[in-house]
Amino acid sequence: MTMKRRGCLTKTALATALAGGLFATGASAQLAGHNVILVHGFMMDDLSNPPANFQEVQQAGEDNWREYWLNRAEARIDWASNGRVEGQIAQQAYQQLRQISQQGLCNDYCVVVTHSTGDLVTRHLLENQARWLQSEGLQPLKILAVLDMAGAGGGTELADLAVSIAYNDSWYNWPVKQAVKAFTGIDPEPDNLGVVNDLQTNVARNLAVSPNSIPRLRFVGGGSSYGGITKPFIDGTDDGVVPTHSACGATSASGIDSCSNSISLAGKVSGQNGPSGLYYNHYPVLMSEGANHGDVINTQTGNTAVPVVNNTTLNGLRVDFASRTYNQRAWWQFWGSGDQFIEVPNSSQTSLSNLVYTTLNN
Amino acid sequence: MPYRAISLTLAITAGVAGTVWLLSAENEGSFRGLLQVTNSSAPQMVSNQDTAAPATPAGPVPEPPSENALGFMLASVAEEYQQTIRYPDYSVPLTKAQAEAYQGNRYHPVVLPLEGDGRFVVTLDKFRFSQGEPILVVASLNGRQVFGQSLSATLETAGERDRVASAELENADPGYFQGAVSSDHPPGEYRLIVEARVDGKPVRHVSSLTIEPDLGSFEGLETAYVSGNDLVIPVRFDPEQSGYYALSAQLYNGETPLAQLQQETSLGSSSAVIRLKAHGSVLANRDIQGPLQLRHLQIRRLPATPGDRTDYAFGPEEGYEFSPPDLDGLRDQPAMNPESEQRAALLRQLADKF
Repeated sequence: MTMKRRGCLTKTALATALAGGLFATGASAQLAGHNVILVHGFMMDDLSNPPANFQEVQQAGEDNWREYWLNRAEARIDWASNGRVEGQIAQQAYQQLRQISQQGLCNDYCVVVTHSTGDLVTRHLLENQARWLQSEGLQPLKILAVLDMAGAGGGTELADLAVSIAYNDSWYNWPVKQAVKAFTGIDPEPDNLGVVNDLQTNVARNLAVSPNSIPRLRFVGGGSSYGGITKPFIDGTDDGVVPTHSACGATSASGIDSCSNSISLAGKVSGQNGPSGLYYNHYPVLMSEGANHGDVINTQTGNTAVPVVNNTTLNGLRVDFASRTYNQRAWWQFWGSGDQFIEVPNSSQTSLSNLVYTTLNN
Repeated sequence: MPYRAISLTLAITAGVAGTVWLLSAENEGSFRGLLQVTNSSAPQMVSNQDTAAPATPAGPVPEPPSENALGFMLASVAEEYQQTIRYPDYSVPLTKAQAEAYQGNRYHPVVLPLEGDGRFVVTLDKFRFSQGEPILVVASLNGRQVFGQSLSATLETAGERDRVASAELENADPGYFQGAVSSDHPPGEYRLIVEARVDGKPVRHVSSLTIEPDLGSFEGLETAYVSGNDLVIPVRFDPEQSGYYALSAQLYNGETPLAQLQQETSLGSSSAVIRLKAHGSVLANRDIQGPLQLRHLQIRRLPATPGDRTDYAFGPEEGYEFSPPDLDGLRDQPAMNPESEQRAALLRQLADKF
């Protein structure tokens, strides 16, 4: 959600941006044979230095995905974070939806990959895109599924705090203020918060929440961002920016520790404070305790991924998870079998995004 | 004396043995606590649907899932999604948690941490207020700080920062304050600023809410009837302005949520009837006793163009109760939604690789 733009606009980059938001990158720009569309998250630089034009918005979007997904997508929907979802963001996003529709990129179903606030932006677009496009005589986009990486559709408590901090004097609670500054990249003022307003938990959870027929596959991190200074202010577990209740697609903003009631973010099989329910068609797929908010879309390795196993029966067959467990003895246990963990074998040797991409393209 | 030495030796030996056993990883009984055994008991289910998968029909024994854990997850998603497409978009089943979430207009208490372990919490009974209804504010303060005896609440427009209303919150109980702010102001997004004095300095708790325009009035239900495989519930709504609207409501039988119903339609400025439909897949084979209730009615005027705001209005708090017609003719048959079916087929195709 809080990705910084890297470097300045070069002439070449500007030329690329001017060529439009849509780009073809060859055969790899598909996932399981379907075109991929990227929707990025909150760009903190847009608050301190609002983009002068849409080319800058596109350049930031391109930079955001460059490390992994950029060359694996056919199109992007870029938007400026100094706007609001039901405002400038919807307008910018729709111009790109129109182009995608006109080019027929989703005629054979697209896969949308979102990061962080892209979850919320996509939810608003999915609720309205068919009506908007049809009113112009255009074909609505056919979406196969949405892969939400660290989805912020349920908001974050950091945004709640940012709005209050914007109204408090400089002496107020230093640790809270530092956490908010790390998250937003600015000294918050009442009128410079942009999409952070939409990320307040109550605002996010009252925006375009109707049940939708498009499956949302959720990928959830649990690592630390900004040196860990934000974690104390987010309910339950989190990835340093987004709470687990949001990333999983939980129906309530109450803090939870895992997307599962019986498997921790680290894969430990034990009773967990999990969600009491999930939004319709929301499916938590993988969790990774070590992956922080940015790691889930880049090439960071070393983080074990954990399948969110909620249903041990498939096609009437009961799955024996013993084949996918390993034992790990706690430091205080002298010998014996130790606790049971579930993991995606060898997942720490690759990044979460690469694991998803290569598996789907298998 | 020798007996005392023997007793002491025995006690020490027993203590060491006990500690060793306690620290052993084999000591599952003491350390596992809430641990569940994966081989013998299924992890507790959290699902976004409350319908059990139908029994597998007799036939060839299916292949066991592959060892690819992510592949297994994708196959699980494909299977679960296959179950959801049985329901048309206009009539989806609800778990209790989903029923609560999709009621709409919910407000989760917002916490502002104070120094130490202090907390400044503001709670509203809803997020969206119809123009003119009072905004009831409850605030609580706790911690080791010294708090002032009164709190103020101010309503400010989110855009121009115009202060449009304010009120004093009264001390209801120790640490608890409450009061009401007027919402008789132009529709839009507002910020509620609740100010307290903490250790002699002002601390402001700020959160967002909306004031909604008068979209029209709910005028009750017409007689429900069965058409095809749907129970049709006509809702009378008298809109103030024309536009494209989405009406949603939850169908209950007593305390049991049955379905979330939704219908989108274009309305003129004259009185209209919007027909909500509950599909047979959410009603057939259910033990429905007595009258049905339509609760949490919510109508949205959807944004005509990108960038427009979505406007909201809500039905009567008590909802509507009605006697259903004979529902015996409804069948638990899957709905036909070509796009969802194609989506499910593609997901299955993807999962079949594992």
